[in-house]
Amino acid sequence: MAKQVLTNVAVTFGTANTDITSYVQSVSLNLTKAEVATTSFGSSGAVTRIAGLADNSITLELHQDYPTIEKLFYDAWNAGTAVPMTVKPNGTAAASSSNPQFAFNVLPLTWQSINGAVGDIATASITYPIDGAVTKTGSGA
Amino acid sequence: MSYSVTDIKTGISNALATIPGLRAYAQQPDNVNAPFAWPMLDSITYNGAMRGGLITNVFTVSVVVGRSAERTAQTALDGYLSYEGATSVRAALEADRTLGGVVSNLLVESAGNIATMDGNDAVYLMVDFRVVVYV
Repeated sequence: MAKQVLTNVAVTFGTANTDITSYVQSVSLNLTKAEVATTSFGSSGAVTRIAGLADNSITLELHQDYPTIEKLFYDAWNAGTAVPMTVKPNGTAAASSSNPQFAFNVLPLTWQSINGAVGDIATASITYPIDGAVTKTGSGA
Repeated sequence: MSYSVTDIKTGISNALATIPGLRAYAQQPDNVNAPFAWPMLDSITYNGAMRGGLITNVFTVSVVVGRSAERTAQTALDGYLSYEGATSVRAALEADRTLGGVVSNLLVESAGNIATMDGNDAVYLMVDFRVVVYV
């Protein structure tokens, strides 16, 4: 797989797996693990550490559309429970090493129903914490 | 949303045609028969969202008002430039910001480049409107 630009990151959101791809301006899946110090008197004078719990998140810049996007995300925020999401970097084709699928649940703690200046295209910017593990699938992924 | 540049030009022309007395064209006309207006595509920006979810088209809508020496042309120009009113170009174009369902949204950003144009051995007064169309 060559280097590439992103033009078709497929994104679904919600219990109905709603395809929101064409409303997504940018997406960042942020995978992080806590750093746990294990330094002791026997560490030869150097800090030692191990990876702790994963604490992941996803950031989306969305174009607003009230009957679809706003309703979908407002309802999720209003319900206050985790909802499923999937992200694939190269469209809806079957998951593979060049198009791995990342599946997870997010907790929609925030939502921007209105965001923008006069004359600007309406957008929404959100960062959701991921509830539980991120599952990566795709042959060879 | 499936669309073509021609669809947008036709939609703009149809909107302009609602202005009383203004001849509206989807393409630049051959003859000077003021007042008349037509859209010209300036630029397209693809990939505003994933999977072609936002395509931004910028048009210049030119309005040739009339002979520049005539007072009526200058008065008409004031009407075309107004924010509101029966002959407001902005109001006519934004009356249906989907152009009949062809586009997602439309905004008349500005008017400017008020200038004269030579044609038919006469000097005409004209003005350009910058129109941003989101698909």
